[in-house]
Amino acid sequence: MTDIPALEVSHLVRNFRRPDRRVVTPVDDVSFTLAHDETLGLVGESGCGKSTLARALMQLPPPTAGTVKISGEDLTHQSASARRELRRKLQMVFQDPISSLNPRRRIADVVAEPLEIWGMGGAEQNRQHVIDALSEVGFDAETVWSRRPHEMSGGQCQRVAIARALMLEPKVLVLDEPVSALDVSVQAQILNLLLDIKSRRSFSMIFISHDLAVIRNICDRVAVMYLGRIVEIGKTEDVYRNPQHPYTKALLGSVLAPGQKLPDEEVLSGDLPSLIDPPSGCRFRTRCTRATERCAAEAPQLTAKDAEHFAACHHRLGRNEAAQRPSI
Amino acid sequence: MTEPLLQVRDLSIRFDTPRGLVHAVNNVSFNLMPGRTLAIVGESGSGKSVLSRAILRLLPDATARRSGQILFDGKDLASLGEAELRKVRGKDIAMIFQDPMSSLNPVLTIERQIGEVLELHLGLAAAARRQRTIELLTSVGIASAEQRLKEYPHQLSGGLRQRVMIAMALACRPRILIADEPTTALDVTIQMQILVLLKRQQRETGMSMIFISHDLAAVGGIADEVAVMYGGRFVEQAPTERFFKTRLMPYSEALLKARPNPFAPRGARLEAIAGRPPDLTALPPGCSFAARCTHQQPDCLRSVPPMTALSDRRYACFHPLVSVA
Repeated sequence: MTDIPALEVSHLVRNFRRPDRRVVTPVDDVSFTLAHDETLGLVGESGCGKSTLARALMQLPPPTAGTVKISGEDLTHQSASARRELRRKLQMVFQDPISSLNPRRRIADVVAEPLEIWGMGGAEQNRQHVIDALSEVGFDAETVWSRRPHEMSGGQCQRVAIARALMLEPKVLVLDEPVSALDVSVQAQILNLLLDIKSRRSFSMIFISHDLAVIRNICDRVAVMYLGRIVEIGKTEDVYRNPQHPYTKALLGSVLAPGQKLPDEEVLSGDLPSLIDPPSGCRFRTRCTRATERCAAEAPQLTAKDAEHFAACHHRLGRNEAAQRPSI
Repeated sequence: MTEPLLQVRDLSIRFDTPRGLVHAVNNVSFNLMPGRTLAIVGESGSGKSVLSRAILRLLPDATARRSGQILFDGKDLASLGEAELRKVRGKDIAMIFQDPMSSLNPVLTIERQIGEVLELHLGLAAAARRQRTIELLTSVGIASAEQRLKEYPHQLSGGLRQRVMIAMALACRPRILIADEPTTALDVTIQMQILVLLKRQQRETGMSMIFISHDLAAVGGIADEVAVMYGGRFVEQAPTERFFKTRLMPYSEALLKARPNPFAPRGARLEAIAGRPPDLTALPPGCSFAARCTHQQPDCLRSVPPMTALSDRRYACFHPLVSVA
């Protein structure tokens, strides 16, 4: 284990100019590190910027500002060819497993494609490589070899996408809502598969999901995003047990445990503000019950509760306030 | 003893497709009592959405073959003519769908869409329609309702669109609201807003609800009774509290266990259900879950387990998880 993190993201910004020339900033000054073999969850509601962040990491398209370092090497300020080389270390799995596989190619070709692109190995060696990759994700390679994506279920396609992403032995695997399109029973199969692969190989994961239960199951640390910014980041257990940011608490309070009755009042009212005209200061203040004048004037920075748990809030929750409803 | 508002008797729905006959719903029976909420839970392909659409006869007559009875207030909806049926649809029984964007008409203003229902079923004049539409929008928690009247669906957020759908469904004070995955496309905080809204509306109007979902936890929060569907059949039905205490049918148990608990410390592996759901064109002769069931015995493969009643719950399993002798 070295001191250099697997991934280091500093002051990442991604903005887009709309047709009406107004600029929106779905990712606004995001910084975090990812240790070797660690799984970091990115959680937040739609429009919080988590998918844009993932794509900016992958340089799809590259971020507007800020840096992404993989094993200490800066991905953002490189020549195109050097960037291409570095990107091998960073692979991605998308939400919709069926549309992320080429419908006209056989499963074996889909999985072999990264090797072909990089001109690696001989035919026989690659063939063995594909067989190993398919069996690692739980297939009998011979059975699925010549199938096409439409002959597979969503869960099976997601296994193929994972096999493909692992072909080049990436340092970091970015998974954008990888189980959200799947049924509960299949979700569990994929989550277990990821845990199994992770126990055998050495790589880090960024796991994006809106599903707090799934995040808790698979992530060592979690970052909570709201309207383009990270509002809280820390070890998953700490953040879930002792949330510091009112938004994190509201998010956790909106999830029912099995058998739990619905409260009479919703935990968080209103909608996400528009990115075109985000609130000044703290972006959550328009929905926050603790908001004061200071929140409108001054954007809170991420500050440490302890060495590993940070929140961006002027009025952080105390221990008793943060207490969650009892679990069942 | 009050009479059930809706009685579904031995309902089966089959579809003619190029792949063969799809057995989407198989011999489903249930009662819905006034003012109560029944949740129907299942994974994709379990038949839950087809069942919900079959109640209002929203399936294409050309391909859907139906047998069984759907008794609403003593009338069999399955045998009503189209004209009679139109008087029930949207008036006595209303429905909301998962995707409000595709269920709302994109080229009509909110005022026109809700106004249409009020004109058709209640015959309200323009001024009264406008007044009632504002009331409805306000009652579903839409602020500054008057300004929203002239807006189109694409101008609203997903949560607001679902509120408009609910306002439209509630326009004629239906006695039954069928909600097909109404919160699935929404974020968790908005999900809770919509669930709280539905519950509050039910308390105020006394309507019954059929709540279709894949999410057992969400269902537990809102329903009085839970029914689990698998392979087009009801496999277990129980009052919500009893269901969350014990499951009798192994599939119900497996479905609950497969989902990580957001409030339990991080566990290791999840208890995934091996295999895949059955092919509805070729259901096995026995229990449709047997192939994936860890409690499978030889008799499970021979015949379909009948629905067995046990006080206020029912289950379809030869070898229930909890001894019921």
